[in-house]
Amino acid sequence: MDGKTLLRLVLSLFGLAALLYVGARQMGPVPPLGPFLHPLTGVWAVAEQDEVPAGETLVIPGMIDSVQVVFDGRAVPHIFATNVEDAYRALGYVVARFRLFQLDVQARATAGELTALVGARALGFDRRQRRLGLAWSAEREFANFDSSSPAGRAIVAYGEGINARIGELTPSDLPLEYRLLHAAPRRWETLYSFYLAKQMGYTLSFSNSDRSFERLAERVGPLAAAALAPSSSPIQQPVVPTGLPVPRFDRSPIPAAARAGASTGSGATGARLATLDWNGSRGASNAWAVGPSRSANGLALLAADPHLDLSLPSVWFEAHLVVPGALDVYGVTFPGAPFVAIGFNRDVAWSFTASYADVIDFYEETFDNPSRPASYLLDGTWLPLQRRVERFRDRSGGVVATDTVHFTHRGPVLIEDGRALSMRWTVLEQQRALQVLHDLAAAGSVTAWATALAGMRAPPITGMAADRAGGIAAFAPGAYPIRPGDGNGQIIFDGSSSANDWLGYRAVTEYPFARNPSQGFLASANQQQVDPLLDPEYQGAAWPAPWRALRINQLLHDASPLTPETMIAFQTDPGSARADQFVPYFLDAASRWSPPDATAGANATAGAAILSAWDRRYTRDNQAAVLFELAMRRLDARTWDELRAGDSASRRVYTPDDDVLYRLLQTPGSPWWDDRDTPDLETRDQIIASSLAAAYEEAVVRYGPPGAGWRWDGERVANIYHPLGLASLSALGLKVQGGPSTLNPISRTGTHGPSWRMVVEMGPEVRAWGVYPGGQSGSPASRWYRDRLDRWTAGTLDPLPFPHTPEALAPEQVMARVTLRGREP
Amino acid sequence: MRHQFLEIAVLTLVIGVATVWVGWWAVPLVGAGWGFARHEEGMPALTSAVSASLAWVLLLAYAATTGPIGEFSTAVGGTMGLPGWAVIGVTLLFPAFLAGLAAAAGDTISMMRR
Repeated sequence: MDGKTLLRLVLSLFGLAALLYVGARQMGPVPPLGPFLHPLTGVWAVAEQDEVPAGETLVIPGMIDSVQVVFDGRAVPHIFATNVEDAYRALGYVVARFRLFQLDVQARATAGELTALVGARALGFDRRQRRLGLAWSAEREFANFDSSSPAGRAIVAYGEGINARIGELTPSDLPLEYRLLHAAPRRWETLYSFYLAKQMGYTLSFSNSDRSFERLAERVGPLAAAALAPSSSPIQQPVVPTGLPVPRFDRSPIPAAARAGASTGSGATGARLATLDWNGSRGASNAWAVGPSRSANGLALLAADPHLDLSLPSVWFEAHLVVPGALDVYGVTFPGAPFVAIGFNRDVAWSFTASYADVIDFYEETFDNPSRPASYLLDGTWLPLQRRVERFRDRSGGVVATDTVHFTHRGPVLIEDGRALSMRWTVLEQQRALQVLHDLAAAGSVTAWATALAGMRAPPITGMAADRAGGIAAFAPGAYPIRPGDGNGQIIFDGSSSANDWLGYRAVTEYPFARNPSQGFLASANQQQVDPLLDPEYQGAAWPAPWRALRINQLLHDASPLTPETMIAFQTDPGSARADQFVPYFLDAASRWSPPDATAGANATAGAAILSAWDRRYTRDNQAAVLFELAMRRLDARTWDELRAGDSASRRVYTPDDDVLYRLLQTPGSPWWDDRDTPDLETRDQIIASSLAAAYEEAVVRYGPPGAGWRWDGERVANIYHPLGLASLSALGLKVQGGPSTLNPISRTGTHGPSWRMVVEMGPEVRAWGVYPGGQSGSPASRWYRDRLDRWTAGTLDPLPFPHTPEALAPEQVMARVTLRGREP
Repeated sequence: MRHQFLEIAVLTLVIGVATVWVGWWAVPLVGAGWGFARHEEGMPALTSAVSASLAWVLLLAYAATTGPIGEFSTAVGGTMGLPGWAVIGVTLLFPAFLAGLAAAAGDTISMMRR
């Protein structure tokens, strides 16, 4: 054997070994290439997957009777069953066919088990989730779950449907994400539906505003803090009509900071912000109902527009379930929970907005040993802490980290800057959310709807409904805590005294409620539900500024009669009540400002000229909207300079909402207007005009001289990310109409926005329209993965077929018919 | 020449069937066997590589008849920071190298035994 032959053998074997290694083993983010690239069962098989096996009969274990599933042209399943359990079992199966990875990743995310799926990069997120106690509380609620109740049987059946799909998976059926992660789906547990309810509770009601308020009070004193973070909105346009003139403005002066300048913030503030930061979305959901007196054809109308963190696939799955005599409901479900959350039946249509009621409090606890606590102090007695050791596992099931979470009688303990803060939060107690959603499907009137909704304990929500008899109603249920003292919940309580614990909950009869008001319509946009003149009890302190409520009420009041088409148009209305209120102040201030710097004066004048010609609409090509938002940002920075965090020019210990800023506008000589960076004493108009001048200058630098370069859609776009954050599976940079405080706001990151737009006309035959961003499928290769994005971006809604029978859908509306049945005996 | 085409056709068929029935790792097995058996006759490594690539091209083409492979390759490539054509390219080069290197090793071992 010569050396050349030996070298050839060594090289070929070495190369082959290397290829076999990358073929069989995962290397970093690269999955094992062998199974991944296989042309028929590898990643390419995803492109061949067919979520809808047309004309087939599929065997689903546990199915009692045969179920017909008719998929319409939008891939919405219309499920016709002879019993309720089969209907939900079929829904679980269909959802798993379309959204298997989403089902899995959502459950894991809530439980803090993502590390086992995506690796160590999720460890920080998982720790945070476990410390919040969502899975812990879901397990407790699940332990008391009655699986024999109608809702219980439905939840169990839904899970059986999911597992039926998982059980039939072949290598070719595996969704793309599992291939990329070199992972496999796990069996569905009924508990996971409770995880989802807890996560929904987190999304709609978690708030760290108590701690924000504490930081604010430390900076400016309690009196000023109470005005800057008020427990009642300074602009009142409540959900429940009061009979008082609306909107009602609080024009009283804001108290000066007690210790303005005493502290410039600290690193500790920054650290405190970091640990359990809330996502900070300030609400953007809308819902309104119109009674027969104001609709064109004398029928009640409902518009639903819940805003959530956007994702692709959507947080929603659309479905229609029919069981003759028992169930006939259409709407959107959260994948993982079987019930229609927002939708309609033949008699009632309903929707929700987050209520922003304060249902969470923090208590500073005293531990016996801060580094290894075993007990906490309560009324002079040391009580044992409950401990839960959280284990974080990798893909192979090995423990990669542990964490000990302590619990007092109030809830889980969070360690913040060395302080032990226990958390009392209604979401960690019995929610009853799934039960309520189950019951809503059978409501026959707005009264029955409200009765069913009254059982909701967490999260607190504002519901809106319209019925076939012409009734409309708004109702805001939830367990509202009764606190000791003045009832205010904006403080960190002393945990060592049981006197600081909640005293109970408000009675259901005290929940905000309105039905068939004389004005003929009701509207909710996350604003305070009841004017504090009528109900002064503390309900919350983080109300989003009610600009959207002002705009909706104005539109509904001015436009009459109303039709479904006008309702659809309103959902992307670009008008801004906020701009209506602020622009006159900019114009007035600029007209009277004569600064020593001639350039600044010229910029203010040029900016004012643009704003004066503005129709105050956030259309995509709008130029003035770009300038206005820059000016508002500058105005915030210059006005609230007292609240800066440390040396940062942009971060603040707290930023009051724009309705508080508007209240401040009413006091031109308020000390809050002074710019502390200058020796002079500035007034309101100087700050406003200089903000406009600076904004104009910034716009020119960023976009060039005023003209085509200034486009609102260059400033704000929608970004809808895949759960794994992969750009190629996401929809980024979507140009949408709408801006801050309009009815179609998109958050600054573009990741929070309208998640499901629906309009329903409650006639003898229900007519409905709807759209959500994305499509029914969770498979990026599917034609239903992003098929609705264009319509969602344009603000158009699809007609929603609502057939009574499988045959009632016109052939051109039917994409596929599938029969599901149980195993042969 | 005609003989070589026939060889490639047969080997393509064998590798294709082996991929479907056994799995991706059957590709180097077939390649090694081919290299061992066809020692001193033509260029078994090249023949194996071409056949393996061709087999996967045909399988991929079949997959493309039922799904949007081209469009999907862009999405898949994007998850790895690659253009779509690169993923398709890797899909075709991977079996080629597997089969080619295995055939070269088989060929060499066969040579050493004599």
